[in-house]
Amino acid sequence: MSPLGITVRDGAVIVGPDHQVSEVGPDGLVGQLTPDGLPADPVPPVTLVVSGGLLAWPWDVGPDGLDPDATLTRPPVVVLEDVASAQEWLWALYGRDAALAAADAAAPPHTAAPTNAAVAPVVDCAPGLEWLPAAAARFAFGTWLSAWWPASTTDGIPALDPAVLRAELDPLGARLDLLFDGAGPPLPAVVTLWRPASDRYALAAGPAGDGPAAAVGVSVSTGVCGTWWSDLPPGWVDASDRAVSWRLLQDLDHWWLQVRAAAGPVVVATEARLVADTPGRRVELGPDSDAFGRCWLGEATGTEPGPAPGRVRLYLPGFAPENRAVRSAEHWHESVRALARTRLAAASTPSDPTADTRLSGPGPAVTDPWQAERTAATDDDY
Amino acid sequence: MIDSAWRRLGPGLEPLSAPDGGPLSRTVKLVLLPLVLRPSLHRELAAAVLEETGVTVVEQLMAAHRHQLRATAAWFALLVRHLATHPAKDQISRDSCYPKAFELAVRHGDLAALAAGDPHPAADATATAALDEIAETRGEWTAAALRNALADPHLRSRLSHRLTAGWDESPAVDPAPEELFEDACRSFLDSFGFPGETEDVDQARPRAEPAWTTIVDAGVGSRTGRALRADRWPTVLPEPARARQLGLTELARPARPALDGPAPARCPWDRSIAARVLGLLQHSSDRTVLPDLVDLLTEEVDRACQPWEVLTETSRALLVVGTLLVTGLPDPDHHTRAHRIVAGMCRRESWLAWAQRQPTSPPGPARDDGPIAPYLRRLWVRLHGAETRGTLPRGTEEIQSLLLGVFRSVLLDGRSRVRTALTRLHGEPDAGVVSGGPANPSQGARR
Repeated sequence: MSPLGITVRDGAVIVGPDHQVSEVGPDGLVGQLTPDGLPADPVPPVTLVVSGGLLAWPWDVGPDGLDPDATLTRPPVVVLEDVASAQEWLWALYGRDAALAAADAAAPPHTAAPTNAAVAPVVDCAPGLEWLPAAAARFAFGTWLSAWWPASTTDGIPALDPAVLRAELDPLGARLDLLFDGAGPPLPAVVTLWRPASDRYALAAGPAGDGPAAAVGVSVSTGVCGTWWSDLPPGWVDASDRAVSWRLLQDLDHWWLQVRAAAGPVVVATEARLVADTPGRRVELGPDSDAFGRCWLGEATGTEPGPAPGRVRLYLPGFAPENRAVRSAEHWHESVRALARTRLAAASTPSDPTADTRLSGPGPAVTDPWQAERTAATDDDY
Repeated sequence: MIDSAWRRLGPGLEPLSAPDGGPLSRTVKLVLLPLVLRPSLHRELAAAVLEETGVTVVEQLMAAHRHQLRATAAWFALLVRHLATHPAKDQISRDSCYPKAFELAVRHGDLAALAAGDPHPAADATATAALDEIAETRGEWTAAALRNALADPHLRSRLSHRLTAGWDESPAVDPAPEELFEDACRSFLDSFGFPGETEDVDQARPRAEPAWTTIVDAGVGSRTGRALRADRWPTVLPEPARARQLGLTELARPARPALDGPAPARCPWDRSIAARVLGLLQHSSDRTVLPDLVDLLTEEVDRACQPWEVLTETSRALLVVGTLLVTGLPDPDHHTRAHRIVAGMCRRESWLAWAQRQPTSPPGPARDDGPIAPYLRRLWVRLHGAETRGTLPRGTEEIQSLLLGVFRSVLLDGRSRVRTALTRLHGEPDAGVVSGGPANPSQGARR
């Protein structure tokens, strides 16, 4: 099968497809972070935490955008901090040669001459359990979808039901026991989903609400923007890049900033608070609903005049750092949306029986539609 | 290796196997390694990667235990079935059923031999008795035994006296050649890394052992420990390294622990002698390696009186080096290789949080104590346990991997803490809402 490279970086042993291992940064990150802690390569890779380390499948981009088949059928890059624990499964996922090479990289026999880490040894990938790589990739892909699925009423992308997804992930996770050292697979939480009770649809980017200020102030400026997805837990805010709207009002002495964000599919506790930041101004938002549907609403007022916000940054304090630069995310968000639309289209048609990425025995292939996607694709509410 | 030998044993092992037929990782960890293969008795098996002779030994040992393992599987299934309805089911972990099933298999042999027919009262009674035994050796029994022991006025007064005398006789802090300490500690922290990683690492690695010897022989640990006790700032540690800042006590100045007391304390040096012993008993899976209760209490009193409240100079040296490791993190200009490795773990952790769309810290007010207090608390507890069981790290590789392993587990704790905090913010089902099932706060709580 494909050749694997092995190298060591700041306390970690890294194994994976040769060309990807040579791209791993000096601190063992698969894909680099910029100085403010944001990823330089914005589409988050598919990842899986396993005993002793972390598996990562960096995205392969084909002519049609993100390519799950190419991405998930190649061996993952593994970053090992505890090679001894990982010996329990390295042989099964990558083969005996890779397991031996990883052990050597962590502690070469004392008789051997020091290896030069710049030249990664290359071994063949020959999984000891043939079904394991595909099962691990499918499980990791399921958890990736639960984190990054761009559910949005504005964009017409229906939510995946976490309970349906979990029902499919649970038995798959149980099969992967070997990778998790009996600690249980890292399953996504099942959270409550809100469903429209009638035919009244939520409009995402309605105008910011008619607070008391609306009566007295003069509207100075308004705007619409999206969120940086990693600032918020999945499903809290509509994933559209037009989900957030704001309005700045001003009279002689005061300003009022009103911010509204369309709610995502997840039901949150009433005490949950988001923060909308813009230079010199900060607005706290709570879950609410208005004439346009479920939303997050908040308003702040002050006397110091300031510039009109060009964009606001919406985040959950504690979930994301307070002072992160606001960046445009439209490009990579759009590529994830395109993937979601392709998958929904595929999920509404019967699966292709000739797919060549079968797991051993009966069962879905690595990138086959999930039941949650089929349910979402046929949901009449959208 | 173990996997293929397991599969060759044939049917009858299903309760201990994964759906694909290989052994559950719990089976490997709790039965095969400690009870069947026993690498401490078979030197060929001690290495992480087996040589040819080791492979043969695994095959032979597994085949020789074929009948016992089948019996273990049957007993395990029976134990787990009874566990569901056992009155003490909350105190008995499923994990403790693995070695117990093996014990029953050794003692009673095959379940079928004992129990012709299912259900069989004799087998059921044995399983229930075995679960009672597990429950007794944990939890309540331990606490009660400890209370009984301390109710003896003679023992109580002897321990009390020993504690007062021992605590008061701590010698004054010696003046010490600080440069020597600093150089040795830095050399040791700079010797971390994989062999062959870079030329610098290869040159630094041989310096680890002499540096460690210097730290231990010069009593750096004892001296700093005494300074902490006197609430002085041991200059080998960066300011402000006082016991309270290090998270080992919540008091302004370390105080003599009580013999026993009602309130469980967050910091190890604030715990009573009885609480420390109870901690040992409850976290010990194999109580046969622990000395008896009175010896444990006496040893614990002696330990509490010593610098850093540990018995050995090795533990004290580890606490000093561990303190330098975590307190030095904020200043990248003075980073050793050990600091860079730990900083790398932190960067990978925040990278992972981003990739999995997980929070980097719990929602709510920011915590400002950083990793220092959790790290030193955990390191102290590990060393405490290792001293009692005689499993202190030997050799620089083991010492280095303990220092890094504690940091890793602090990071993993952080992971589960933030996930639990986030779960609380997810709303309850109400009118107009379709339930997605129960939220699961335990997810992410690994290790």
